[in-house]
Amino acid sequence: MNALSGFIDFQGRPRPTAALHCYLIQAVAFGLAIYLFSSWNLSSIAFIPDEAFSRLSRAKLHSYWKTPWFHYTTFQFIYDFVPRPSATTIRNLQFVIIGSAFFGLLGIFPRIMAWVAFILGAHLIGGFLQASDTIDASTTVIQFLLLVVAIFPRDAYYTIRRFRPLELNDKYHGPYFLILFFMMMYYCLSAINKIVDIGPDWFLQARLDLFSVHAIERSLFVSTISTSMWFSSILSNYELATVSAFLVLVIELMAPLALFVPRLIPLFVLYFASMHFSIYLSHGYGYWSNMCVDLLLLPYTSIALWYARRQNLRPLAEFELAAKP
Amino acid sequence: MSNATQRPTRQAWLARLLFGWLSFVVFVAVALPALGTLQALKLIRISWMYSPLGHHLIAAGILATAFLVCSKAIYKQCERLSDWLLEPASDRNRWVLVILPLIIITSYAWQLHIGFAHRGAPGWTYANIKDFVRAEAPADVNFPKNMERGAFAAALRPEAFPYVKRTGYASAEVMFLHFSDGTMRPANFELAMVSWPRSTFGLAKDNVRHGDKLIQLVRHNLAARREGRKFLLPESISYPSHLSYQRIDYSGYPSEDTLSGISLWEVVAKVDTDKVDVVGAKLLSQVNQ
Repeated sequence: MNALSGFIDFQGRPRPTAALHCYLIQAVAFGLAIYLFSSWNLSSIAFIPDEAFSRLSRAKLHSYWKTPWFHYTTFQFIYDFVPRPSATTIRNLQFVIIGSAFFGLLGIFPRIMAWVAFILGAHLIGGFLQASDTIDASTTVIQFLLLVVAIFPRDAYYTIRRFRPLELNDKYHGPYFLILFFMMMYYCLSAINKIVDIGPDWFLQARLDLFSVHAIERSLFVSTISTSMWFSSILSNYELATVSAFLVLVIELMAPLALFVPRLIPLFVLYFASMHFSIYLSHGYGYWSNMCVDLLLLPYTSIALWYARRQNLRPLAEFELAAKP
Repeated sequence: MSNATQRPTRQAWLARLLFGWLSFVVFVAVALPALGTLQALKLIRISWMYSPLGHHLIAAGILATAFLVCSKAIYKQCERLSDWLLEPASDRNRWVLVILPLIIITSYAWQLHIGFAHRGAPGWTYANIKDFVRAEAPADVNFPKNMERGAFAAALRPEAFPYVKRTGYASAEVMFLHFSDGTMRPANFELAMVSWPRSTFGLAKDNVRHGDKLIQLVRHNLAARREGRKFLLPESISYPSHLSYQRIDYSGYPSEDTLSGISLWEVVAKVDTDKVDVVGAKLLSQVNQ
């Protein structure tokens, strides 16, 4: 199965991956969940009119389905039969998610905690998405990350009893591959959407420069979406905005290459992380989770091996031993 | 000997299942825009289907053609994948590595948002975005009687003035909070949490359908904002909202218990080279408790 093995390999390294990488995924997934659910007050959903949860999908979301599918996959359909929860109940659910994520972060029953955070999180986020009539990629990414942690290989978790970051194992590739696949597909599909929805000349029609001028001018009023004034000033340049849009389209379209040419992964993920940050600066979209997940895809096994060898750390012998077939 | 004869059968069965599922995914991915196109032509009517998206047929056609042309190679990969899956006695991790990407591919191909995966960002452009600062003043620019200009001027952000290059007139819809002490203070839809409060609360011009709910929600969130929080964390370091509105310091606002109403105004400002000033305001909607 060399083809598949090569497919999930990265950095041209032997297949075994350091547990450190899974530990980072676990910590970032729970950390982001704590961060998001400690920041957003989802109990606000209790004050949203019922009709907002049963309206049709928004046309701009380009869905074929009148009822969004997350109505079912996030268990919103149960409110077709029972009353919607009060603000206090939602608040308590949110505390359960934060508590679960906190325990998971500490390495206490991480698998169970990931399932609890994923299912309850999906339910609350599903309510938010339905009430907002939006797709919100950043919450989707956190949910995916929690799911990946919930289905981790059994030994890939750090726990309060087990912490061996430099242990190498083939199985530890799995979580990494899933996240890489998810993100690169997401970017590639976003590029295809641009071509399908607008056309191959999307980068000429994008006109980020016009948007930037608009974003600056609308900032005269407190009622508007925020933007970084200095960043938008720079992006107001037509040539720069067009080149940026061209790079977005081409690099998003090429994203699946990262699955087949592992050495390109750092370049892709650093580009995409900076792209999300610039979208936050210019458009005000909070894509923190996307940025964090992109940075999770850097080759930490290689970095750990390099560091361990350089420091002549004791665990070196362990992972060299583990790397042997 | 029996193992040698049974294993290929299981592997072949699994390979056919994988290939069958991929074929089904591609078939539905083509069928959806095809049905949408027929609906657009008013030849059929499908109750569960949203707006027809005929242009997606081209992308689906390319996908189907590629699938047909490469079907042998894809089937070969399915066989290798099934070999790999059945190689060890039982390794759930390998099944996870196959099933989850299949779910992702399916959700992408069928344009499903399933909570943890969706079709990606839609196409967008700004080529037709309207100028925010326009040379001509909007019609009927004036102030309502008995309203202070200063109340509306509070909705301006002086820190943005140096970055604005054009002169003329700018107008924006501004939300104001009314308190029982008689004051009217600027706010924004960030207090409503959702991305599109206008549709969520039915905030049509001159007609607010769920004003009471909006007041309850704003009161609920204002309590935390007055303390500089969104929920548990300080607002300044909180995870950004999906759409991040301009930051407003609500700490000096009266108590949420004294919130008596919410109004939406179209506020017009004159933008000069050295200053910006409010020159008019028109009431769009008013919600009272």
